[in-house]
Amino acid sequence: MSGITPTATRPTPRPGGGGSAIALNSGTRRGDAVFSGAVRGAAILLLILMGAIAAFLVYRAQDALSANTANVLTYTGTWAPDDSPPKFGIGALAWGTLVTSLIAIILAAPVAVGVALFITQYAPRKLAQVLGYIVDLLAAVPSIIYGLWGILFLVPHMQGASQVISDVLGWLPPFESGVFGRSVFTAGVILAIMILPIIAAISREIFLQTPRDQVEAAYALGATRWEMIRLAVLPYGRSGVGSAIVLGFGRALGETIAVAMVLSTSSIFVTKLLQPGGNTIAANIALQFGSAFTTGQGALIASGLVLFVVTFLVNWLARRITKHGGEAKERRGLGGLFRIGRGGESMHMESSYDAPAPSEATGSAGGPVAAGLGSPLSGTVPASRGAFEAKDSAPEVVADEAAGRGRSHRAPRVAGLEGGVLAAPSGSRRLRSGLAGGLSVATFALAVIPLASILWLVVSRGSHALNLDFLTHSLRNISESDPGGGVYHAIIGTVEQALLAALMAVPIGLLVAVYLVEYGRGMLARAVTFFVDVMMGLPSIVAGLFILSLWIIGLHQMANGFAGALALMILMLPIVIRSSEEMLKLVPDSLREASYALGVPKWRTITKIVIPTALPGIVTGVMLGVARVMGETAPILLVVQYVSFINGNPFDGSQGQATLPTVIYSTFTSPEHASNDRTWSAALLLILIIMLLNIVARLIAWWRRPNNT
Amino acid sequence: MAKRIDVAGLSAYYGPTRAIEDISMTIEPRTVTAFIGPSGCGKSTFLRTLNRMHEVIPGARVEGKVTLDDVDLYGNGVDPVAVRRSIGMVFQRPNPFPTMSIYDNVAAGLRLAGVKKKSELDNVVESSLKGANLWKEVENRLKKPGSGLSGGQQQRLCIARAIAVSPDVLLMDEPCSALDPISTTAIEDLISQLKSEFTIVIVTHNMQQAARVSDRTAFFNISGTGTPGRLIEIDETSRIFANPTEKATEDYITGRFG
Repeated sequence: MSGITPTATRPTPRPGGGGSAIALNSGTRRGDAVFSGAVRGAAILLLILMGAIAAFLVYRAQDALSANTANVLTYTGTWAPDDSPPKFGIGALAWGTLVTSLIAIILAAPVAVGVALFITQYAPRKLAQVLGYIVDLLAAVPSIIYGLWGILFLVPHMQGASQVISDVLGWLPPFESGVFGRSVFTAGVILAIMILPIIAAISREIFLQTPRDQVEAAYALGATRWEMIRLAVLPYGRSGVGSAIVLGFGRALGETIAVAMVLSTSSIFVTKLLQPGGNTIAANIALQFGSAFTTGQGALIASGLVLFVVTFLVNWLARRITKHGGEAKERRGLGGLFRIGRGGESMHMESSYDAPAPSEATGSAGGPVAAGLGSPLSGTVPASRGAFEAKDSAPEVVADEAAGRGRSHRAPRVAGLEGGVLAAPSGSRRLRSGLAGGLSVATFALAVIPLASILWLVVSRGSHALNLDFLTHSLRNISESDPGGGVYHAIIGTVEQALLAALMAVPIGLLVAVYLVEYGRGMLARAVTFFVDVMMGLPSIVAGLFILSLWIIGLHQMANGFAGALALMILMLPIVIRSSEEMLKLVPDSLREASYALGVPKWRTITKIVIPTALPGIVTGVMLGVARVMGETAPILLVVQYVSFINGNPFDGSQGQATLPTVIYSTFTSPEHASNDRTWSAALLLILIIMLLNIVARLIAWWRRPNNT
Repeated sequence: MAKRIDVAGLSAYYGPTRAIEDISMTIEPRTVTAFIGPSGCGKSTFLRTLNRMHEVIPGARVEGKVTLDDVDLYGNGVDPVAVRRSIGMVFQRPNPFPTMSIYDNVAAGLRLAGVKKKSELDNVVESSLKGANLWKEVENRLKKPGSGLSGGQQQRLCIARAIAVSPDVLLMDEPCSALDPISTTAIEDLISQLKSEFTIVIVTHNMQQAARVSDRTAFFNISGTGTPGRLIEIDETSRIFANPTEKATEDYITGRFG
């Protein structure tokens, strides 16, 4: 071996100094090989899982499809797969899915972006933190709660609103004669309310990451706050916000339970938005599955397959849209010293450091747009051009509104280019800035109303039956009209299934994340990143269908708690991967380099430096993932038999398990007072558990955050 | 202990882009060698080829030969990890590990190499911090996070961390560029002390600094944007600054650059 290796023989300059143990051997390489093999294996496992999902859905759908006497894609008549001959098609369902999701995204996207802008750019800093926090919490409210609120509160109130809309817009055919609450439009509204916090939370994160120096560069050119937002914040966040909106759209496409609860379903082809009827693919699966026979199950699986393919395509499209921007960024990075091919958000930072002069900063801000980012926000480029022209033609000093907000950036001033003519910004510029601010405040108010209403209703109606007895008893032998009883059985089921899911998802997810951040290059990494995106958008009902077709129908396993945990694991995996990936990416490369420069092998650098640095964030991500799957209803409905008694063993093959969401789902239609109270209390309890998990998760992130300045 | 580095015909690439071209030089043990030159001329890239940090960047590769006391650093069977243990590095921005205390930062290299004995670690931490002129300032707060120190202290902490594994060579990539003048002076004093034990190579943008701390100075330059950086000349520092052989060097030194 070479002479560098035996450090031990080297005279050591100080006692004990490194003389020992710094031995070069193949051990470090073996460690690296084993470690990289493990993470690569996890990445490949993920691909296999995705392949299996698709394959099993196809396999299970086959018989029903070949027996079908109608064209499955275009037939818009009644869903009747168990008739003889079977006749079913997803035409009407797919249309209903598209219509509700489009209504949702049209309503939610502008409001959500406004909310995110308000929180990050307009609200005073302390308030902003609280508000951001609230939005995050609302994003965690499970769909069963939205459904419950939707059917018992929104639907009655939507009758009046529908009347108003049809009075005003009734001359348009889709808005004719609407007085009915349980319409497609109402379903769209509830979906909008559900996806709003998700889009807002992601957009907020992205806006917060706007590089400080770009913000200051914009202010230094004499931009008003709104001009700064268009110059620095929006161009920077464009692709992220675009993907947030697509994510919200995908979520709306696959949303099952809330739609199933709110919509008065029928198999008509929806043309009147304000009238009852219509259905979505996902809701149809949840509603029909209980009564479906073999062909019926196959038919529903086939429709789930279509949903899967559609979300797949949506994600593919989203990636294509953002891809160009990403590649442009990578190319920029190639010239620099550090970090090539790491992609993603970190590259944004890179490019901002690359830009020494304001003029180049515009170039970098406009770059991704030139590369063809087709997001609705790309209109910001002409705006930024305009601002720069304004700088050239009108040498003026602009007093910054932000100066009064106690933020850290200084009141930006542009020294008069021609002898220091000091003038306030023109009235119209100031007006526009004020209007934009007012608009964003208004969107926030608009967003808060339904969300506050949900919380108020759940708390006010759920609190009086929520007592110790409720927490310690099951619903065994309790009829709908009986008082008493509780959800102890469901608490056990919820906790056990979620923890089992986490036990499986966390190790795999973390390894995949490490693969993507530390090793991933080339085809495999691209494929894994893409499929994590796909999994992220995977409707939960499809995860349920997969476990159903593979585990229960295919392997003849029982519909017990473990089957539920498997379905939840599939839903948790992408959350764990994505959040861990983001956290690992945030670990500065300088720390990796510092470790390498100490002669530490890569796998130890990762396990001892990178992961510990990212750990609080990873833990937070895992807890948020647990909280998310705890509220899942749709997949559990398919794969876990609901029981009203206590079953502490999720592996018990003979009996199923209850969870809090399934308790709510199986009791919400009851006309009885006692049962209703229990439903609301279960909802309140579910919210409390999820909120608590969220709060603890964030406290960990906050408390363990390294105070690096 | 301090070793000698010989570089012959070295070129470095980022993907298809050649960043530096055909560099040869000798770096003597127990000296301070300064690399100067305009931005983008490849000083830092060249520095990073000396401990095989260059190849950490995906797509980056090196041609040519670097030997450390007759061991070819790029030879077959040489583990880059071992190279980096022998050739330590201090970066432009102080980068203490944020999850670790001051003590743990200094001990990190040894711990990660498997040293567990408390007494041994204690000794190394103390001697390294003393070696980095930081001991007096931190001896009562060793368990506090390293990120709580001032920028200059953090950089000395990073130097302590680098010398704790007792490397043969210490590479410094603009170690003072993020520091104030007082901290810079502290680091420069430290460099003069450390050269009795280590071979030191320092990249600097500050010509006065090169003149102050180095024994030998290498001047790098590029002929234009997109062209690879080259070594123009290397010589005694006093000579480079008083009477350089090359006109380009003189132009750069005297500010008549470009």
